[in-house]
Amino acid sequence: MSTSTPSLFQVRGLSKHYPVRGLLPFGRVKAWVKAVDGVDFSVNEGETFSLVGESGCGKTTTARMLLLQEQPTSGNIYFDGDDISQLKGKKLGQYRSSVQAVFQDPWSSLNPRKRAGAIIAEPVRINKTFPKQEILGRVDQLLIDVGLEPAAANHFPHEFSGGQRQRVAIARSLVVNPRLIVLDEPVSALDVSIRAQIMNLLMDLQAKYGLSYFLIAHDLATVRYMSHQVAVMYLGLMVEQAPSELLFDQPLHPYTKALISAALSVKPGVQHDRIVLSGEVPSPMDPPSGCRFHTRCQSAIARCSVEAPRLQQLTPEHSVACHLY
Amino acid sequence: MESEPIIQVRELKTHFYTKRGVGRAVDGVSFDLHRGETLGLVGESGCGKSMVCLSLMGLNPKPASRVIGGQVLLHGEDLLLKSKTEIRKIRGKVISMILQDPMTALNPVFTIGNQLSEPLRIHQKLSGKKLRRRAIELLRMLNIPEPEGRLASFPHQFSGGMLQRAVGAIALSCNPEVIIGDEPTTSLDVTIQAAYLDLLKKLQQQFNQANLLVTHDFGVVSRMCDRVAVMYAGKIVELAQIQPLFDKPAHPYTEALLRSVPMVDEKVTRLYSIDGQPPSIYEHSLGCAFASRCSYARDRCRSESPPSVQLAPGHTVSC
Repeated sequence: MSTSTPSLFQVRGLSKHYPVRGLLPFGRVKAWVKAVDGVDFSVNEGETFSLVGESGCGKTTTARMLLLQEQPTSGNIYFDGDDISQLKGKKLGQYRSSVQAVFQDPWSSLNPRKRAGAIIAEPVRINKTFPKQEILGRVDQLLIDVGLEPAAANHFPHEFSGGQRQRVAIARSLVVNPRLIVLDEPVSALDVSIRAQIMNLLMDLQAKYGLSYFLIAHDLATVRYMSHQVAVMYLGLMVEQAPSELLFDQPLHPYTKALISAALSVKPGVQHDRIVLSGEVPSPMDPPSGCRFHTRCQSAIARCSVEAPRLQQLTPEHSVACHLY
Repeated sequence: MESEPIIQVRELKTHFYTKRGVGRAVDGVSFDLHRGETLGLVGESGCGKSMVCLSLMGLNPKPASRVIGGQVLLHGEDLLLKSKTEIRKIRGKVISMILQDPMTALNPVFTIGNQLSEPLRIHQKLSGKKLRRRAIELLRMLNIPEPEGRLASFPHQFSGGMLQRAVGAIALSCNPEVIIGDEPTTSLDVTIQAAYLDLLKKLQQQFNQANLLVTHDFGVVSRMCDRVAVMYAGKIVELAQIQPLFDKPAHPYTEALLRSVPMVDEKVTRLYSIDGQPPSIYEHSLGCAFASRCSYARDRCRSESPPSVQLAPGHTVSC
């Protein structure tokens, strides 16, 4: 968490706007959906960076841009100092293998017609990171690392339970020696008792291989448990960013406060003053003027509806975008 | 809460009959549901909590599954012995249900107004202006903005949170005595979930209903429930008031589950994790179903099924 930790990813002014067209396929662009609208952050080596926010706030779009599945409209992503949009050839291949992903639903992210061993080996066969003879040994090693038997390599996905499938997906993401893994809701499709297993496994692997994680989750308890840095997004903008403990103990932005107070405590009888947000998330096609949150904010002042607040650093660690500070 | 229970479930057993053999989805479940209380039914997927709800309403999938034993007494009358027509008069009127996914609970080709009016027409014999007025009143009760205009909307025009409130309006339409919520907020965002739960709680107190809330989220339980029943492999392993259950969980499974949930309000350095996975409903063990994952298991646990013991008034455990 210290500032001396080298950052693996640097993201500057990243945006993704999607055109909304009329009925005809080449019709005029009627509006833009600003899914991500200029976010800055950096992910440090060996740490977990989490994005939280309601559905539709741009978390997944951001992750997709890191994975090169989506071209940014503007802004830059620097990986180890290189702008990833400029990478070509061998360097691009290297980038692709150093950033891997584990998705939410292990039922749909594994090919049902392939055996676990083939699923795990596929990224290596494509990237040719290892000679062929070593692949089998590598798969066995990874299966042990993620807590499965090497014999599991011969099973099909349907023979596994949800937790085991997620373990296979994790093994697949690890096979090419990545430096960062994008975790898009890695435990929310799993059962309560299995969630803890997978979260602990992910944290053990992080310690063992020095991995960085880019975690997307809507369950704040999961985020608090796993993250070092947390950023809160609202309608395509980052509203607050801080080290995990600081953010949960002293949230500054009214939206962060509302999110944390809406998260349900597991202890009965704990009644803190709850902030209930009225209304729904406004459409990203037509975001409110000024601060995008002002329509649902309880501490909104006149200035909020006119002028958009900028993300400012209050302390070297804590940034917030709100006129109140 | 010491009133007479509205629903008494006694030794309910629902089994599946398939090629793989007999699946004991619900294997002897008993509980009472009183007026004005919320009973939480907690457990992992496949533990039978949804099947309990469906069986109460006679909606368990047929012919794959059959309720093979037990009683479901509504004001002393056994629902399981009633004919289809009789049950239909109770469903939606006395007992109603809120399902997990509002997108699939509603029919996409009918308007919200149409679907909301259906139970009112059938059970309360309303029509014309009265029907419309009541429908608008219901939508307003569930905080849906501009209810007059919203009646003509189709489900796809609503957001997730609003749809779930519309489903809530349908469930509440005939002033039911019992509402069964099967994971009513799992598909919603946290902020929407908090608002929805508060609303449900308020309406429940206002109409003095009994709620049976199925969930796997201990956060929801601690906010909503008065009593909790923890289910594992088709059986209720522990049933208690909420405070004692969270403070002094008696069953090792309850304890392990509680320790494996991360907290929002404090930092946990290492979560406890339960090894292994829940057994399949097609595997029948002689002893306690949790024995293979339990850290306190003894020989006796593997050979004898534990009976339900009362620890304190209102706190029973099978261990």
